[in-house]
Amino acid sequence: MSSLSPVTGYEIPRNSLAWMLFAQVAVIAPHLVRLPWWIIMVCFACGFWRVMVYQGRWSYPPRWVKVCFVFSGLIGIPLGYSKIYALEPAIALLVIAFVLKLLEMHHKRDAYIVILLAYFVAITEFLFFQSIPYTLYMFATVVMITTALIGLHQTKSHMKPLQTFRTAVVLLAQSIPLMLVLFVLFPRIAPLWSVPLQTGVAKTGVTDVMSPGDISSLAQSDALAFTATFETDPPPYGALYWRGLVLSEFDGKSWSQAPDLRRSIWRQGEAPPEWSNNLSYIGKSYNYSIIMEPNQQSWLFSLAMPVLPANRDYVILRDFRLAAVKPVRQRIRYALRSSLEYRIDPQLTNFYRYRYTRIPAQSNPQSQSLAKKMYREASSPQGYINDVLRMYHFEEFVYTLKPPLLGGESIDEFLLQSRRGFCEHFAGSFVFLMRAAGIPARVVLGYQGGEYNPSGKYVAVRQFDAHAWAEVWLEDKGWVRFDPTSAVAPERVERGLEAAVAGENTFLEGSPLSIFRYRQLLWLTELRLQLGSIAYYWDSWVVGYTPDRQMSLLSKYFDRMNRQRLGSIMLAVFFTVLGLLAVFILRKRSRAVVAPLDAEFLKFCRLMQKRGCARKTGEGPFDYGARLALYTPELATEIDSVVSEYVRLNYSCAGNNSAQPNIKSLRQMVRALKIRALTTRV
Amino acid sequence: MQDLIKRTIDQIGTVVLGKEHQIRLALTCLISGGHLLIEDLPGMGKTTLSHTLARVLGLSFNRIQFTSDLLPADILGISIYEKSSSSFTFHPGPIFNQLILADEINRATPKSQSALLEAMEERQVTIEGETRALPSPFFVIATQNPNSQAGTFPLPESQLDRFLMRIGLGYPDPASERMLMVGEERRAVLTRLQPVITQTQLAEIQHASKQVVASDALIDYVQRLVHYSRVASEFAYGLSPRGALALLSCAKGWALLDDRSHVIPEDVQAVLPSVIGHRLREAADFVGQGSGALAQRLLTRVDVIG
Repeated sequence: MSSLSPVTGYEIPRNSLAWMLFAQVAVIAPHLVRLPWWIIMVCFACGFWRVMVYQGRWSYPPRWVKVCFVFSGLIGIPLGYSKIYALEPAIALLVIAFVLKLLEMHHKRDAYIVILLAYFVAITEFLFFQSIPYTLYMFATVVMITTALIGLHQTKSHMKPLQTFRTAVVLLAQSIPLMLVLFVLFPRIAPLWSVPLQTGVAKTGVTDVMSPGDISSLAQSDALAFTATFETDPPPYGALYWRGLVLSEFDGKSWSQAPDLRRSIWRQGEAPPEWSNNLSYIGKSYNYSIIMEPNQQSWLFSLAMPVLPANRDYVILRDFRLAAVKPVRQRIRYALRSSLEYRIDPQLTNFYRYRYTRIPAQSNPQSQSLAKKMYREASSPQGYINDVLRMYHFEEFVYTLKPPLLGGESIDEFLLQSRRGFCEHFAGSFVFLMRAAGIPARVVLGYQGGEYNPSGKYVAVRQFDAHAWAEVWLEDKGWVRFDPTSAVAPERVERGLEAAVAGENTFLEGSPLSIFRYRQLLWLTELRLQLGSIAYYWDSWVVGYTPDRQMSLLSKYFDRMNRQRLGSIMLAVFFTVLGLLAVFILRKRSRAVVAPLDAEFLKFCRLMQKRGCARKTGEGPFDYGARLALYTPELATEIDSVVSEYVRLNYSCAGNNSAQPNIKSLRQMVRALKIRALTTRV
Repeated sequence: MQDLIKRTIDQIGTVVLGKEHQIRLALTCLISGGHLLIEDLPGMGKTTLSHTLARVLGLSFNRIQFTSDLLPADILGISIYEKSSSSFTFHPGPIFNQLILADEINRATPKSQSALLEAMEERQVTIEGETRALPSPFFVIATQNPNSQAGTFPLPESQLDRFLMRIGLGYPDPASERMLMVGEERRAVLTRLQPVITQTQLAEIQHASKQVVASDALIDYVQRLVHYSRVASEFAYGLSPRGALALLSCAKGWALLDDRSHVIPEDVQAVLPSVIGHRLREAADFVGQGSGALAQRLLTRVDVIG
């Protein structure tokens, strides 16, 4: 058979090869979307070649073919990727090496290499996905690889692949407890190097520049933005304003953040800046924690107004919003306390008064004159604000996800012509009207609402909850939140986007398969909430099991836990277990394994020994039984039945070592004796 | 069959008083098809026991008194020239009987001893170039005085090994001894004894003994015993495979006498001192032929449960 290696005459067992090929397909499959098409072709070619080799139709590839393969891979991968030192080309290289090694399995050790590479490739999937389905899939692939590994140790005549598979399942199931212990206890060490992760992942979420149309496109996405877990009942839906960005600069078309945002920050452990006195909390506060999905930006979301967090990674900026020191590149979790009633900046310096009333002089002249006219008619700033909101409410403004495209003077066009818009149109035009009348105002970007999951007790905020509103500065009251959208479409604020756009059927129009489009199906909603809470626990406890989390968890059970102690405990446990295993193995070698039947009889002997009459070495069961009957006559019948049963099972039939005798009866008798012995204790 | 065995034992017990254990051992030896060596001081009832066995088992019986001038021909028989027929006629010796009592076997010279011992092993004799089969069943019960006694030629190990068992009788207990003194003379009782077992029945019993079950666990135990005798330092040499087989077949016989169809460790332990006593030698004892201490050591050091 030419499937024997011409080099060594080694032939990989059929079982192992079959599972190896299965495992290879399973392991590479999740990477397919990331791999260039030609690598996929190479994978198929190598697998096909290997099968042909096994069937004896083809022979192993000659050396020059292998050299060609290797060089084309080495040249092709850098050509196919723009960045070489990134994750994807590294994985492509790994995959191509993995499949090429198939064609070179001359020794058993080559097969080992293929299997170890398979484990390694399987692990790389975690760099991209950490969700539960992928983890389960990973387990399945690991079982397959392990099956191939077991198959490698079986003889060629072993032709039952499912049996091997079962062995692998049992083997891995047995390792789960160890896996869990290691997961919880093993010291989490920061990586020695970091690879640029998730390059090219689309940035979803609000951006730091708001121009008309931005948020309405965001509203088409049901991706998770963050989840918030409240220690107590969450605030009512209408109060869930997740403050994220404050946009103060207007260039005539779009709104952006102030350029000097980070000049003065308020951070735990540093002297609080002067402006920190401008904040006072009133009334009830909520404790909650937020798990935020990575958005590659450095702003964080919080209910207004957050108390300065204890973690030094998070700071408060001049406009009293939360920000991260570093951009959020992976899922993070932060604990917060917020007071929904507050007062900020009761007095405003001239500088800020100027900044928050500044608009380009020539932009949107019709709106500017409208503002001035309305302000003259109103008696006070508060009255003016009410007039503007009333205008939104009573005139023919429409809240829609499909606003018409606006031209250069967007606010003029919106206010006086189209009158159809989304929250960013309302917030932007509202702030513009305020500023045109000389009242300090700014746009706030964030999320509003969120879906409360009663089983998980958290609020899930998705991209379609993105929202924009306004803050207006009033003398002595400070910055006050006004949401012009609520004047037009109050259901947006009270019940969410879907209710607000129910009439026009545009909710998640671009994603017909989104589960959120079918909220009217109650069971589906229920199922979604359940799955959501499972995924939430998974994210917060498994994927989000960071060194900090580990420490805080372990500190609950152990005093003064730190990384060094954890490490030494782990090492101690490790060596103790190894030592015990060594002792066990040595003992096992020196002593034959006790058959279950003998073990049961020895149990009986120990029981009697406790009563004061031990069996002597070399004493036969009947002799011992007779001696016991003299020693404890009250147990004589039970002793006799145990001894007779043991003798019957052990000695009355030839060859009972191969066929394990049924020791149930003996076990019952020993148990009965035990009970009797307890009740007749003198 | 059990009834038969019990009657046999009782019958022998009427002559040999208070020695049921030894009677059982002797019977075990015979139904296992082996030869028996009885070693004890003179006057302990060795001859009586063997006589009784012969009578009760209904076997043809002859006794050879071994002395230092006993010749092999005295045991095996001899061809004598007959004038009437002008030819040599073979006169069979006492060995052509089913049960031979070789009395005081260690008093004869090695040459005569070996004549008997060869017959024991082969169950046939070759005299003057002609091979003659011995009757069946063929048992030898030999008695010997302890080697320390004057005028003995100790049997070498290889010849001791031919005996399946070696037993001692020991002094009788006071009650039995009293009965011995008070009651009828034993010889008279002996002459009145009727055979209890026919030869077919004996063959059946022998066959049944081979059918007794020895489980793996029991064979493990026997192997552990044998192994211990081979590795432990107090033994000069270990048990041979023949010794192990002897142990197992005697245990089977003992189990049968105990009315059991399977062997238990106690059976092995009961026969062990008699089976291995003459096959082992203590490392510290250069001339001795086994000792009870060794058997005790095996019994107390090797556990029944492995």
